[in-house]
Amino acid sequence: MPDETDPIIASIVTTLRAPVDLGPELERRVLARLATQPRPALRTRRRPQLLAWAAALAGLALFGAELARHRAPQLPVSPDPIRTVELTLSTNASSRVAVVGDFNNWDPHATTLTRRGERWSTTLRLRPGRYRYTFLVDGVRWVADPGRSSSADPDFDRPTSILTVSR
Amino acid sequence: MTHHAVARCRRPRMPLVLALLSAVLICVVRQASAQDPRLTARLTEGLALRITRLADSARAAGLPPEPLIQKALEGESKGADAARIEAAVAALLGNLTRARDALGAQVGDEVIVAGAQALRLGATVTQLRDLQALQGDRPLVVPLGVFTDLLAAGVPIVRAWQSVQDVARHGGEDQQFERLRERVSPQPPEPADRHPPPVQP
Repeated sequence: MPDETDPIIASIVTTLRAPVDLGPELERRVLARLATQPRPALRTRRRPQLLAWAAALAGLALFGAELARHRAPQLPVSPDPIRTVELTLSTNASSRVAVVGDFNNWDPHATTLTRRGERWSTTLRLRPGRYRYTFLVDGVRWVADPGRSSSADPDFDRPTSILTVSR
Repeated sequence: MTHHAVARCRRPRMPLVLALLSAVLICVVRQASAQDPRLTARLTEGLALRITRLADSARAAGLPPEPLIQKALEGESKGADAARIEAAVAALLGNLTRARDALGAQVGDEVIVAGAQALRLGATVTQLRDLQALQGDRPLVVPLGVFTDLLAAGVPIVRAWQSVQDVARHGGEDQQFERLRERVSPQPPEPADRHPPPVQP
């Protein structure tokens, strides 16, 4: 705080505190300038808040839509009956024979055949349709099913058999 | 800062947090649901993403994505490299599109898939259209499947087409087409739950 007991300081303070007459001309000019300025919107201060809420609502709506779009589709239950199909292969496999195809996502670990001597077999339960498959012997040898029609596989160069399950 | 000033500054934070949270959740949902777990479990991240994009393209075009997923899994199972798997899936998408364009969207996924397989084995779009015209209102899936099976069995395309065309022209039923298939296929073992057909006198 300034020391107003000092006469010099007190004199300066008194001078500075004295009202300054700016004259009517200045006031008129200031008002005229203000009149030319664009009038600020009354809700300017609220605008960021409104925008934020709008963004939040839009985000929630989008999230809901996205959730609905990606919800697991309800697959219709097929009226077709399930058929039982036996696949067999006579081979001198040493350890394991698996069947891979459209019916088990081509997973070499999904369906293994059971051994009876040199005859390996498995039973599949399938709906009517056309399936592509092949045998995998000992995890390394690809063998087409000799009991069904087979075709060369132009995509991956492995023998592939065709299984058609009738209605 | 006064209490009011602080409150003014803080107020917009909640909606902003909500908006950001929504954006994050959308990303999470998209990421989680867009990728088929079968692909992510067995393919490299990049290949799974590219196959997912192809499957998404199929879905967006009204085509079944499942054959594309199966083709990618088949390639992985058969030890093919990423480029070959992607090429095979892209080719299948192309054939599905050609089959759908030839046969129309109303025929159903099973017919479109059979058409795509026939195209892959050398059938032409014209043959698909002709077979559909010959069948008229009768189902197309079995004749098309038999045509594909004949091609897959190595029957020359001209002979396979003539055989299928002949049966279709005579208004053949599904069983007649299936007999055609049996003539070129090794005799499959009888399904365990089906009785043999009665012997005709």
